[in-house]
Amino acid sequence: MNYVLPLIPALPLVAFFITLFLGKWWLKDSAHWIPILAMAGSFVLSVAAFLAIRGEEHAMVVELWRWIPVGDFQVPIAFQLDQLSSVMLLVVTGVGTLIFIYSKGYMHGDPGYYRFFAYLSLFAFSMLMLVLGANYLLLYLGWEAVGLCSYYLIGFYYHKPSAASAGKKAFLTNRVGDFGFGLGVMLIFVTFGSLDYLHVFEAVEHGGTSEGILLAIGLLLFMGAMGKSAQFPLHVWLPDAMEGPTPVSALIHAATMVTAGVYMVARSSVIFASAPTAMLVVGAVGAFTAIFAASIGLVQNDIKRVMAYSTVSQLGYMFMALGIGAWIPAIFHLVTHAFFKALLFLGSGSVIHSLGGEQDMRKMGGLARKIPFTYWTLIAGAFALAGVFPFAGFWSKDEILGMNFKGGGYIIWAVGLIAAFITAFYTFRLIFMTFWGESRMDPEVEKHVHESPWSMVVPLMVLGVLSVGAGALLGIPPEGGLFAKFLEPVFEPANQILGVHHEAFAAIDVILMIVSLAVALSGVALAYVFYVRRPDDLPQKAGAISQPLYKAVLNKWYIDEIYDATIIRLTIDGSRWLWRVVDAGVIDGAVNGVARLWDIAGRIVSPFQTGRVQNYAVVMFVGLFVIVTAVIVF
Amino acid sequence: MTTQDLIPIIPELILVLAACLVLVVEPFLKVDKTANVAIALTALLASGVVAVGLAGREQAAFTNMIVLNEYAIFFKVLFAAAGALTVMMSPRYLEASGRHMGEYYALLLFAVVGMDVMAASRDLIAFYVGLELMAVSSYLLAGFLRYQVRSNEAAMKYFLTGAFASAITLYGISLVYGMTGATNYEQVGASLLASGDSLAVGLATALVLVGMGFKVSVAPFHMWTPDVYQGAPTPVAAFFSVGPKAAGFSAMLMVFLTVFEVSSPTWSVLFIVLAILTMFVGNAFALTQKNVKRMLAYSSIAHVGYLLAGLGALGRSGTDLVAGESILFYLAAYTFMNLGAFGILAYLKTQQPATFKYSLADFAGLGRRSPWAAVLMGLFMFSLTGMPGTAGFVGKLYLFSSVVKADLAWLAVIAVLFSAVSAYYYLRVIVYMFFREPEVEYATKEPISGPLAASLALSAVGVVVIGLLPAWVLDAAQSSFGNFFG
Repeated sequence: MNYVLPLIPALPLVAFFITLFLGKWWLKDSAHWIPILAMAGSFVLSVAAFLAIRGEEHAMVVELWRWIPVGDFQVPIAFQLDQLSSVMLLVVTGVGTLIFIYSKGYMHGDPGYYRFFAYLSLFAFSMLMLVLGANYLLLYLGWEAVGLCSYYLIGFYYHKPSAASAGKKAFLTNRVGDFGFGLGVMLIFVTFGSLDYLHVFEAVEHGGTSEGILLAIGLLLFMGAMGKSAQFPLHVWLPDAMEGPTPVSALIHAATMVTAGVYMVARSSVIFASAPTAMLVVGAVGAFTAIFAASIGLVQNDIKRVMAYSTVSQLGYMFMALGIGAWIPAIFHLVTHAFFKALLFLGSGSVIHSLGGEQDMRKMGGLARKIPFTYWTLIAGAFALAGVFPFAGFWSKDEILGMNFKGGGYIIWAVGLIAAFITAFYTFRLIFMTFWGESRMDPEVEKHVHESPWSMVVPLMVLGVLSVGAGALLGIPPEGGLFAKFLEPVFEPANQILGVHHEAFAAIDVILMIVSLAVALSGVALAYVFYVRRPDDLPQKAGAISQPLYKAVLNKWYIDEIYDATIIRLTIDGSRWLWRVVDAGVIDGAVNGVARLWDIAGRIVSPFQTGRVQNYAVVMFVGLFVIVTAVIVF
Repeated sequence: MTTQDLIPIIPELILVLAACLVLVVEPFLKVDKTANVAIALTALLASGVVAVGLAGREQAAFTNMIVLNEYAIFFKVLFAAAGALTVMMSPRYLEASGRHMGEYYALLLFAVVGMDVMAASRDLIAFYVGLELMAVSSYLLAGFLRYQVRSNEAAMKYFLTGAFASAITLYGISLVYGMTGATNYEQVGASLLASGDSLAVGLATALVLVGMGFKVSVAPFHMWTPDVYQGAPTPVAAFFSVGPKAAGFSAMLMVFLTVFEVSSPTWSVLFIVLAILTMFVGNAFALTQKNVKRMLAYSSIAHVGYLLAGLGALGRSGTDLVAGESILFYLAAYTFMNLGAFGILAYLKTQQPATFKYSLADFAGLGRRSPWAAVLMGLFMFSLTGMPGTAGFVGKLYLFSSVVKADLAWLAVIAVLFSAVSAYYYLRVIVYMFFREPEVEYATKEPISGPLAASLALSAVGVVVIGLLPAWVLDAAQSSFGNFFG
């Protein structure tokens, strides 16, 4: 393992350098080979790591070297392999490999072809560092690095102003969260004198840390998670991030990077378990985001934006689970979501690709027969997202809802259930508007509709199979399946603090499953009525009845406008004041003053440097005389 | 003397033999001096490798005059690296100057031998012999371009002021000998410790401090530095700015910690005062320079100022040796970045022997003319400034934090302020290289190649590796310093 583990992130890093430096001149249109092979290699190694950690009680830590030791502040470059990081490794490298392959077809002919693969490899490296790091500083480092790659890739079409400003928005919004995260990491170091996971968690388990401090650490860390995982009120950047190429949306803004916040909270489960108030906040924010984002997803017309809000909403589910200590269902949902959401994004990408770049669902329709592979795989993804038995999303979502209900969180359970209904509705709204009914395409576009190349269709089919079967395979019986058994050792300490013990599968579980299946199916049915049976009048009528509500949702609850009017306005005015008064007056004045001072100093000393060696000797002896006199006198 | 005695000086023996070999081979070589370059380079590499190989065989030799320990090995490797990088940047430069002779390499090897002896000596006499061997070789190297007035002037100035400094050092040593009747570091130190601090000890401390302060250009004994650096061949100036300085510090650390342990309150105050003065003088002069070579000369004085602050902290901190470790680390970091910066100057001079005058204006437009050179120069300037990610940053971080640990936070603040000032003159070079239009457009676009390029590349790698993975060098510094004194 000592050699395998560092290789997992190293391969994409090597691919990044090769592609970046040789891509423009040598590799050109074959720039995809090295990154794809590197990613597949990492996947194979991740499988090896998975086999090695299966059934192990303790985490393996591989220390490569110490990095910048300053006194007590020791940060080893060390990787930690346990069941949690193993799951994340498999998701990142597995889904990553598929998306890399898909990108070969999707990005074909783009002038920035090699640049795209170079960034993608850099992202993979950063994400793997984030997942593998054995301490909070490496986590932070990977965290910032994936952020950086994400901004590059959102702004990949940098000549498009909307893409450039979406990148900027993502950057600034994340800064808010990362500010809290950074403070949290510092607070951890101040409190425990270390940033190593094992060390910190042991200290927390040992007790003696005041709950106030743990609460502060938990909330600060969660602030970072809110930024990265797009939780309300820091969710605003993710929908705009859809300006990036679709494979980027699938890999970074659905399957992997945005789940880093979930991973971080799960990783810190011991800290959160010791600070119940922090968990309450996590759960409440998650539940609110789940229903809030789902409501916006109802009325979006851009196919990728529907997906974006759906991602925000699903991430909300994961935090909802973390909030009640349902660590394993949260990670389970993370995994199934990675499969079906990557599938849905890649599928929409395939639709967009075949329509020559069209993203507006109002200009689609009737595509089912024209692009059958895309259609059928998307159907699988849609059922998984809607949470229909026996597709993947059903199992993980049901576990989250079930544990909330059994834990007494009836309100959150109800919120989750309503959100699930909305989810089913908007998902099938998307399917029906895109693939069913009459074609609303431009005739010019319609002529050129074509199925996507194999490099795009094959990843879709693999993800489709996973979206159908992975949930049942890993999640039966609920809370006691393969997945839960595998992950148990990681969350054992946190569960002990919470006093959770595993309950056997019971009748109540069956009832809850039937309830959530009924809710999902009714959502699908309503969408069918709205968009297949009566697409011409019912949506308009519904909009007209709930006019103010409809407008608010359509405008994304005016969150962007509120930010514009308050924070952004204030920042700009404040900055202007700082510039005119503080910068121009105080700082420039001080700087110019200091510069003048040095100028004078230079003029005072320069006559001594005459170039005559006699004078040098004189100065030496004067210096010697002064020093000796000083020694004698004092 | 027994055969056992020879083991600790195998690296030096290799260098001496190689130097003699160079002198023997030289008459048989006509224009092509590759053989001598190869001999010198091989010898330096061999001495470094052998020094590392000798680790773990700690022993004293020649009746305790010379020791082999990790401390000596650390410096032997550092000096070998500095020497090798200098040798690599020399051939092109000397050819361009029309004086490519084998004696140059022999002198350089002898200077390295002197430096090795300084770091390894445990006796004031042995130390002095090493010092003089280094100094005399240096005088000759400074005047190596003897048909150039500047080079002659440099040698003369260096020699005259150096002679004064040697005399002062010897005076201090003789006082010590008079008081204790011994020259061995431990014996002298123990004897002085037994008799207690006195005026005579203070006087001896001050004299040795001044004499050695000259070698590392402590203000106000620094005035030879810019003239010598400017006049000497550029690779030689590069070597002067790192080699003899590091050797001086290696000896100062030893002498003041062991011989003058009893007067540590005196010398630590002196070092602190001189540190402030040196930082001030170095930075103030560097700010006003329009000539990059002179600017680098003054900036090297400023770096000595930072190191002196570390020495002052070492005298204050008693048993905590972290300041000493950070001085060793800083010297390693400084060696690579300063050699690199001077190496770029040497390269530019070989490109335009007639027109390149080292002035700032000559750097205008370098970014377009010679992008690799400009990028590397930028890296070295960043590192000298102390930008994160480079060796200079980590060096300053450790050095200044060790000063803070010795309860001298105010001194660290002063040092940081001075190094903030230094950003102005370092970054100005970058501004000229990338943002100024040249007055005369040079047509030539010769790529960097050969050993000079290798030397620059290795320096750059050193700067980046030490900047990103400082733990390796830090571990070496810690074990070599802590192991010996702790």
